[in-house]
Amino acid sequence: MGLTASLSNALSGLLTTQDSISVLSRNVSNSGTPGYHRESVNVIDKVGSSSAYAVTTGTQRAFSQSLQVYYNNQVSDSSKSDVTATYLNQLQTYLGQPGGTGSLDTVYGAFQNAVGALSTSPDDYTTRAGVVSTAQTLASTLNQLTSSVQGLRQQVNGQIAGDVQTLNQSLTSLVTVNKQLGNLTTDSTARASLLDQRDRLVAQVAGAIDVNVTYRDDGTVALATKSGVGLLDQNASTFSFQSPGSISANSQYNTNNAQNGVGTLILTTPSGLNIDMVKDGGMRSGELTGLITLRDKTLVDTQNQLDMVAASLSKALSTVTTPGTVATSGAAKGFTADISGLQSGDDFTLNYSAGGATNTIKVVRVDDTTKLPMDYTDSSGARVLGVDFSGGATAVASALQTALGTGFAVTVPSGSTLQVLNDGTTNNTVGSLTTHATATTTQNAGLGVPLFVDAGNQPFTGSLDGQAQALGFAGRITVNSAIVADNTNLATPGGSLGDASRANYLSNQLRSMAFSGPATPTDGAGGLLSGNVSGLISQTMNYQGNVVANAMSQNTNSKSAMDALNQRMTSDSGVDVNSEMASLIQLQTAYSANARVVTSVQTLLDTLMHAFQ
Amino acid sequence: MILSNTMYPLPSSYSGISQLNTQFNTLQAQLATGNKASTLADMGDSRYTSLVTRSQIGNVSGFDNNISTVNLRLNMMNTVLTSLSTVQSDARRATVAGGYGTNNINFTTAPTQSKSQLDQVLTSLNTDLNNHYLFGGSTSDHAPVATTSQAMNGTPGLDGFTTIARQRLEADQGANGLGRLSVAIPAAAPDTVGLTEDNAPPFGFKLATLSSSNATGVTPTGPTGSPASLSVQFATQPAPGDTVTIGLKLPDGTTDNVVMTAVAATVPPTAPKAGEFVIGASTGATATNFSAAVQSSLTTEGQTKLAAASNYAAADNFFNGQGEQVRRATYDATGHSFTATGYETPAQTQTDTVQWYTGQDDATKRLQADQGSDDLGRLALANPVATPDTVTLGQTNTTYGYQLSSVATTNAASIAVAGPAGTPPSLSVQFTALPSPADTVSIGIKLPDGSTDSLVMTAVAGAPTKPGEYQIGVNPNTTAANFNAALQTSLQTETQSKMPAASGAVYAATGQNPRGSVTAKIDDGTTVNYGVEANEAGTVGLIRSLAVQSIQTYPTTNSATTDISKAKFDAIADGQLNRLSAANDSKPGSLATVAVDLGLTQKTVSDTSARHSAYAAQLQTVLSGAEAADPTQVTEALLQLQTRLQASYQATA
Repeated sequence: MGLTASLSNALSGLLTTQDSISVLSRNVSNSGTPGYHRESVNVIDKVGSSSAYAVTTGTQRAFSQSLQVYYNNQVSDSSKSDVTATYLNQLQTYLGQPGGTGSLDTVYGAFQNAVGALSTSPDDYTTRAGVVSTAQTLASTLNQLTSSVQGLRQQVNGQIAGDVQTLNQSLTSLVTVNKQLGNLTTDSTARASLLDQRDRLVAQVAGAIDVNVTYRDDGTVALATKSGVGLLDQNASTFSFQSPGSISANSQYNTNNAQNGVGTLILTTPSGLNIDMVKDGGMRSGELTGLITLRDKTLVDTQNQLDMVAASLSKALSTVTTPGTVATSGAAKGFTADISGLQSGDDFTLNYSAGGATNTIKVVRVDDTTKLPMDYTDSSGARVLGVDFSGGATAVASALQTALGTGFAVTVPSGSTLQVLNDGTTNNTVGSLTTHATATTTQNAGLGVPLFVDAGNQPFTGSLDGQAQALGFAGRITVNSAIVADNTNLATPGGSLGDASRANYLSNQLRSMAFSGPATPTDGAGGLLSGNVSGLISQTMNYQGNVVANAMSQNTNSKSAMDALNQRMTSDSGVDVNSEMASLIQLQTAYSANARVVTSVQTLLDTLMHAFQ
Repeated sequence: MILSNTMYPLPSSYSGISQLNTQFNTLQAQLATGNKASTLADMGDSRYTSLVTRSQIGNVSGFDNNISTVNLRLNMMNTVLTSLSTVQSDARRATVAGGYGTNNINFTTAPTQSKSQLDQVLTSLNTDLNNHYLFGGSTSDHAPVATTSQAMNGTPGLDGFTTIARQRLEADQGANGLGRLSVAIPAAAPDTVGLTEDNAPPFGFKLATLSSSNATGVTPTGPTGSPASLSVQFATQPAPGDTVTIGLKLPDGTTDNVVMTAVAATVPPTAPKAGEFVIGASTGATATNFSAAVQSSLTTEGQTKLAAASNYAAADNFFNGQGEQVRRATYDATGHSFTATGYETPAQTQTDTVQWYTGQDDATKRLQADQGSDDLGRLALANPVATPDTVTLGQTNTTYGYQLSSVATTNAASIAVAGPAGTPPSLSVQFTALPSPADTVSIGIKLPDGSTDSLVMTAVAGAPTKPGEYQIGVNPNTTAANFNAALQTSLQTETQSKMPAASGAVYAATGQNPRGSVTAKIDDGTTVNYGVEANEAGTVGLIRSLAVQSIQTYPTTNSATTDISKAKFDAIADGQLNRLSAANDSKPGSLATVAVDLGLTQKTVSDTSARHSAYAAQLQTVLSGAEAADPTQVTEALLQLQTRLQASYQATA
């Protein structure tokens, strides 16, 4: 023990205090820096030969691995719900509110009332012009909604491309950071900031795609998706996105690359293995997942509903319903119907009762054999049967006979006439046989009129051949140019202009003709619609409103969860300026005390030196 | 360095403030717009309520638009009907039998006034609202009736009522003015006077009855046969005062009696008064006197009652009503109809006569479908060139016109009949050899209403004098041609006389009426009918009366013409009284019943309108419950929020 021991004690005190203040100052100065983890000085007691003193051995970074893992997960979910909510919020502004100017239900209401007015004044040019102009507004509203929805899908695809680029950069940066961290010789302060950088980059990746992070002892990380696809180990995998350029309602995702219209997202591992992230379901959360769900599911559902509205609107007005003729043969009773007027997509329905149970079979003309067999139950409970009519009535009869089974006889008495008879018992009866053909010209014999047509003034029959005609129809629907050019084409065929039969028929069709989804049997689209045109529109708006509201509330939830997590992170690893200031006072005092000790020792030594003079 | 937003979290105290701020803005927007939600998603549960309610409100307002249109039309129609009613009562007052006015002024004023009233009626019936013509049923896009000038004077190529009435009068009076009757004393029986109708079924006097006050001395025989004939035989000299009454049927369905009274000869002989005949020196001389007196009476009747009846018949034919076709007498190259024996076919009439009413008329449409444009009742009659000895008769459809049910002959050896067979059925009559006189072919037909009739064609050696006769030609081929022509005439007569009733019965059974021709849906379950057609019984009766009076002239050049004018005026006035009497008001289609129908419709419309108002108010309440923000609640929330926000700001500062 001696004065020198005291001096070295005091000096070590000064040194640790200095180190502490330097860390403290860094903490305080970085108190607002995002992703900065609070540091603290490691102070250890050192026992010397004649003294025990404190020394600093680098800094300690406040880091909780489990909290960070949880944080990363939450970032993925939050990004996904955030991007979904952002896009759907845009969608709902396009849809408008019920009763709002230009919203689908308002525009349709105006059209329906114009048709109602037509039945009162079919001879009035202005009234007919009113029907045409409201019809045009309705068609262009559907066109606009389609282009808005497809515009959103296009934007989504653009954002996917941008996200992929960012993601690749993050992964590359992370490789660099990893390499630097692997070099353990670096200064601990520099290391701390590298670790901060590492965590920022990991969170960045987690925002784009869900990740599993493995923190290694040397501070480096390895990333894999939750599904186990490696993103980064020694080297980073690369994402690549081939965008198709433009997206329309007809561009849909298909697992077959040749038919895929929306672009592919490929992950190339460092070993050169290519993984299709969408096809193989490699992503579970994160912004990219949110975007792909929007593009391939949510917005496609919206489009499907719009298409169904457009298709039902067109069909309601253009359908010519012809009840069958009563036919008997001995005790057997039933109906005959001429099916020659049915085009691809048109149908005839058979109501029958077999063994006391009433059934409805809807036979749809589907000439595309790749779509056959088609046999399903639609949402109204009717059995829908797709039949190839190109083989003539005989082929249709045999298909229907197979579906009906025993108890009924389906025959072709002549040409294209189909006859369905029961077996003469009261157990099996034929209730009705009705054909629904699509009117192709405005002044043909029936009361239906093709007011709404497909592009190029082609009649809309709802054909399922090839790519279903209904797909994207909301974007192509227009008002028949023959009617725009001469609105007397709306008049009852063969009648005077004042004859309201057609107007009454159209008005009634809009009110009573019921439709039921799905539009195609294979598509399991959400939000199945059924009902009359007005009902379909209400359901569409309600369903879309619900989807948006759900996304918004999910986003709010994940935001609050994120908030809570952020608070937790701040308290665990953030800088609390108050406590830092308190420490500062403490350190200041300690420094003064140590300095005082040094001064005192110096005085003592001086006294001692003078004593020897 | 790339940084994600997620790495820049706002301190929760700040984000709390910004949330409060967002809420504050939302509340302010609610207060300003009065709506709970500003986006589709925000609407939450009330979204579907709002959609459904709005769609219902839209429906109701659509119906209300219809209602106001219908109401406007009903009001207009009522106004017109009221004015027509006024014209009707004015016309009824203006022309009264015996009311010739001072100096017979009404002879001039009645036709002029009728013409202006007719003008008013026809113009009213062409009333339109924004080019929607109200009195043509559902054919509302053009004026349903012709203008007065078109209807009366015709248009280029098409004759109007004036011409049709003149020709009809010629056809009714005949060239000799005796109303198509011939009066003759056969050489073999000089004491007998015979009256015979011309073979012209629709025209002239029809002999209906004959009676004598002294049947033993003056023997009446007939009227019998077709065409009808009668004879009066003076077996003994009649006593003065004995009367012979000849009952005549006039073209418009009214009857007239010509009463001839025997008077003793005076010295010196004076001309008998009208309706009297002088008992001559012998029964033969009496017969001659009787014949002359009858002719004189018939001539007078022909100029008065027959003329009036003929004009009314022409009006009935020209101004066709519901379920009637326009008919006109055939005419020769000079435009005269003195020898007309029947009507033109509808196809011919279409090309030479003004159609006064071109609006909707389903009853007439049905009749047209049943009669066919050639009046053959939709049968196809042919004498094919390839088989010149055969006449074929076939149905062209199975719904309209006649259905063939049988064919039979009394001389199967010469006439081979076959059928009816096939779908649609047809039959044939083949002359394998010349038939004998009195051989008949009977063709059984069924009319649309299910009634049956039989056309009996009789072979005669000479020129046919009666309907249903055909001349036996020099060979079977010419016989077949004659048979063909005779059958055509018979079918046309049958179609013109019996088809309207049969077709009308079928139409009536459908339950359709002019009111149902125009409908408006004014509620989901309420449809009102308010069609009115200008050719309904009430309006058409008025038009016919006015048209007949308006073409009259009443010459007063001397006392004889004045007397005839007075008689004609009376006949016209009687006809008018008959047609415009209040007794007709209860018949379907009269002005009164139409007005009542429309009144009932208007009541339904106003009831529905009231119901809609109430319903719309309820819907608005539901809607505001779903959409509107309660200002009080919003204000309270706003105040509370403001306090919190201010406190937060202070704490953060």
